[in-house]
Amino acid sequence: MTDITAWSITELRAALDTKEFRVEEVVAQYRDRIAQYNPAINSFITQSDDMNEAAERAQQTIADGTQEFLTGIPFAAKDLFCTAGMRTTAGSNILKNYIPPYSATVIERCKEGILFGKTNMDEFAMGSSNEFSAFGPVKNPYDLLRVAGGSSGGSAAAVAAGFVPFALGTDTGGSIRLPASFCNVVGFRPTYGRISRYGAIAMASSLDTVGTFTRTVEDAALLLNVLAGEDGNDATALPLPNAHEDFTRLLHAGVAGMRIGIPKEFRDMPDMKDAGCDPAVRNRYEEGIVHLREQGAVIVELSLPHTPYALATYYVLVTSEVSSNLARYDGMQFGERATHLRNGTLDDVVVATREAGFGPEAKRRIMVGTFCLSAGAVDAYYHLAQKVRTVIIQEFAEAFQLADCLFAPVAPSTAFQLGERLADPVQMYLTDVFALPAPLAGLPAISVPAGLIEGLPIGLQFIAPQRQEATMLACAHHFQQTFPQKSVPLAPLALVA
Amino acid sequence: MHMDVPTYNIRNLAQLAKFALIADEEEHFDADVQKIFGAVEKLHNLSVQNIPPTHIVTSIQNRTQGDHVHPFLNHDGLLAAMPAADAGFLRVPSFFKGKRGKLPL
Repeated sequence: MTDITAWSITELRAALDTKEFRVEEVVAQYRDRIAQYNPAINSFITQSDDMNEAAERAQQTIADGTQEFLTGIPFAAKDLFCTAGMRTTAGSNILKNYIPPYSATVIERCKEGILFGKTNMDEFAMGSSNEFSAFGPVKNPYDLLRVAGGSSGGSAAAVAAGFVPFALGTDTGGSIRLPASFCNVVGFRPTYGRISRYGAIAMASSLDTVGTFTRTVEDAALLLNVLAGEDGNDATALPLPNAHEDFTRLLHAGVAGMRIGIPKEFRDMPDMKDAGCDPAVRNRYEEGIVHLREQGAVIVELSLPHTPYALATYYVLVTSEVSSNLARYDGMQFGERATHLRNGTLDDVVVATREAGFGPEAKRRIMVGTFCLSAGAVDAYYHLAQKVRTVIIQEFAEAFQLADCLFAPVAPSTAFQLGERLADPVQMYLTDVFALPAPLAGLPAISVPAGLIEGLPIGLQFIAPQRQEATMLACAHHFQQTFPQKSVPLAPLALVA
Repeated sequence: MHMDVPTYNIRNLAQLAKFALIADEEEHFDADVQKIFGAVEKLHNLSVQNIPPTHIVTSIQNRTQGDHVHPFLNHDGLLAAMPAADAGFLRVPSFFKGKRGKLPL
């Protein structure tokens, strides 16, 4: 039988609509692959019990001719999207038994698809390697001794390993694009607010953005048509300019005449040396620039002078927001309540609950953020970072006067060894040095596979002005179709089974 | 511009953040937090006094819902999701030391 587990959503859609395959057959193939390879990769925290009923229903919808883009398509969701009746842990012990009474808007918008399960992640989306999960690290499908990237590592690895054709994730400072780069898939973060966050467990509310992992840019664009739009339950969700907004409308426009900006700080950032920037990644980036020029793009060299301050700005803002958002996990409102204190007061129980429930990275960030927001330090940290953020936003706005889209590396290196960066939190943070400037300005960005370096995947990213996803997707699609290094096989799992 | 940078105390921070760090944890977290503050220190070299802060990155501001009651239908699911519930209410431990239900005078 034809192996369909490497197919895109678009290919599956065609095969289901032409009755080449039945939904049950599609589900069975993915289920078998998960059973065979997930134990080694650890993509899933919770798998759906029974998908047969959903498969039958989807097959009936197709038989009736009323199917939609996602009808009968398997998918997975990062375990911070609430799923009614299905455990939602955010990768944390403190929510290890939490069963939400409702589903996130984004889960509802995918209801025509078949949810295969909830994917592993860094605790509350805090991490760049998926090693800060209470459910064990996700292994990179291209090398099981290496990280999958974080924080949405389970979603990235699930698509890379052929467990599902698409997965949902969130990107606060790179949590979609970074694992996408490490796992050879397309990782798409749209504009801040483009997709509703209702029911997505919050980490840093001024940055958290819902996005997708797919095999192709085309699928990412088609998915955005399904997921985007206003939501009465999320005050930050952006209204669409028109009811039938089509994010694929420019998909085949190519890059000829497109002004693509190359920020010089992404080539020569002082932190790059500390970040362990691999010269091979730099070379691949340069090859990408040459390729875009050859394809007719107008390459514009420009500057974003405050980029070297982005990491510091980001980590002050994020930790501050984390300390506030995670205050609710006190064993009273949310969280597995500590029960070993027989006569403890409320405060005793709160402390015991948080001490036992949170892992080390959550504790670090909460404490740093608590200080950044404290009365004596708020001006010197949080308010200061908010002002630097304004400068960074202004510089991006000026850059977009000169360029339609920016082109940059996603990560300073390919996937690193498990455990390699655990001892030093700042070393881990530097993994995001190229990924986090765009989120500070709420910009859409997309990581596109750019081949392998010594057997490990690497991605390159496009960044666009807010709400200009269609232009960015055109660049990314063209790049994925034409870059000579694009032809990379599905993760060679046969070698690791 | 260099500004006076306030300093933190890890024990105090842990208390404010509602953690009870044991001794070797305290040392470990102190070292980590120091590293993090070392990495963000460079912000203090910037002169941004007259720059307005950014609170939200899109132009959307102050969107509010209508003041209407929307009943939540999954009442049992909501209670089941609470850390501890009793007779339809969220149950919490005593706020104060002393006998249950009596405030110490």
